Amino acid sequence: MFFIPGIIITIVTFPGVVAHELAHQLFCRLCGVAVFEVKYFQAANPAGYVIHEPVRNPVHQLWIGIGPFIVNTLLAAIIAFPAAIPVMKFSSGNSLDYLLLYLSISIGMHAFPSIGDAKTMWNTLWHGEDTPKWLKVVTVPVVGIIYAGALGSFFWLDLFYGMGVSLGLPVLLIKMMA
Amino acid sequence: MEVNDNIPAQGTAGNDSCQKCGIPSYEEGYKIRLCAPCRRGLSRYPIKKEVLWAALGVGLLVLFSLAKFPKSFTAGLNYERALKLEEQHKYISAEAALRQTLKDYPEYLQGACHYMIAAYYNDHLAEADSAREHWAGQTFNKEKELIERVNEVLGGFKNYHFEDTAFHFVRDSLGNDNIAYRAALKQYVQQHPKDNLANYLLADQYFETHEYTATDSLCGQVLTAAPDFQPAYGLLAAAYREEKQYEKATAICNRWLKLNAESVDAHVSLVKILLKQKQDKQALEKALYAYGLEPDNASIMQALTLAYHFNKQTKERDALLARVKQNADTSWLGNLQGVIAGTIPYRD
Repeated sequence: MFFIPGIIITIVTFPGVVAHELAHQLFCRLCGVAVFEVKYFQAANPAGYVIHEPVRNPVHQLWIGIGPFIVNTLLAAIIAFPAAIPVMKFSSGNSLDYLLLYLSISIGMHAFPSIGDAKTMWNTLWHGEDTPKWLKVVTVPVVGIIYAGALGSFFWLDLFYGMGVSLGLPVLLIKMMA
Repeated sequence: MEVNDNIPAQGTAGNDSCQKCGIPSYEEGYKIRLCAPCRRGLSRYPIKKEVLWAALGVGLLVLFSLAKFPKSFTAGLNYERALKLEEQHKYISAEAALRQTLKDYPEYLQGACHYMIAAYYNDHLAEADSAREHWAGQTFNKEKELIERVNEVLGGFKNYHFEDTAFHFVRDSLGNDNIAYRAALKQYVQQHPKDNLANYLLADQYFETHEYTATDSLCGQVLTAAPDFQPAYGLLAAAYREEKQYEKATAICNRWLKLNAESVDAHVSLVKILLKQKQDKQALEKALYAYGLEPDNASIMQALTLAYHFNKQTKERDALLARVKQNADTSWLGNLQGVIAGTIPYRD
């Protein structure tokens, strides 16, 4: 296992950061939550953010929080799909295929909500007075998984996830369809 | 993602008015007082133009890449199907699927390896040999099991050549002098008793002169030494068939089909055995199945013609016979026409 400073990984995979913040913004729009500021990317910590108002409906906080997981995973899979088969199966990818795979893996790597996202969800949902019990129950594993994902990123879990979605999923799908 | 409890006041907001525009009405239930139009407007926070352009660019690249997607997807699907078919020893279907894959990705080494294996088991030796061109000068260490299978097949190629290559010239020089050829072959086999091709060809000579015990013995010897050498199965099954040992003949064909479940020649052998046993309906079913596998194969066309004949389907028989006559391989045409005309007896 080798260590690369997080900021370098963030800069290299900046398309994923942009997609991640866009996903938060998209779910704010879908939930009708006011957004005050969006930073799509910066070479600092955090690499990007969306500042929005406190939600009225606690479920919206959950959707806004896990939005990047849904959007980035879908985007990564869609972008990778036409490029992954020539590269992974036939070792005959061209430069466009490799560019798309770079974009796809970058976006897939940033699918996991950040620790900041987890903290916001925890504060809003677990400590929220209006949060229904079932949502609190759902929040615990979701936040747990986010923390586990953050911990796993020390061991390149985010990279493996991005590669799994981008490279593994199309190959797996073809195997299942055959 | 961060939550902000405050909004920079833009209007002259009082406690009962929208914090953004200041109109004296706001939506209840929110920590931040905003009227519905202001909240809707803020929720549609504009996306930066650079981000939109970049997204559009990526979208175009994906669309461009999608143009070749059907080709790679179909090739991938064909390849995976071929691997499954190969596991089931359905080599005719596997070879067809791999041919499609290699049409789109001719440099794909693993595909060429599997194609060679499938073509070899279908007795398409020229095609199997041509697949070898793909890996000339390439190193390949990934799939040990595949390499082992390729090596097995390459070893199997030896069974189609004489140990002493000079005998090829002897055979060619003898031309149509069958007596001299047989004598030379016998002598060669005495000198090279483990030469599978020579033993098989000698067995074939014995078959032609109805010496079925000798055919049986030599074919058995060949199949013990080279269980993948399929021509010997056909000859052995034919010998048993002519000796009216139908159960043994059928068992040999079934062994052959375990090696290649779609072997057209094995199915043709079974059709002939069934016809000899006057199981005409089953013979026709099997012949039609084999015809579906390889409709242009001369031996299956001939077997199906026979099956039609014994099932009294004269219209279909005559139509197929016309195709047999147009085929390049008409070696069995005289016999076929004789059986149909009743001048050559086929069964008791």
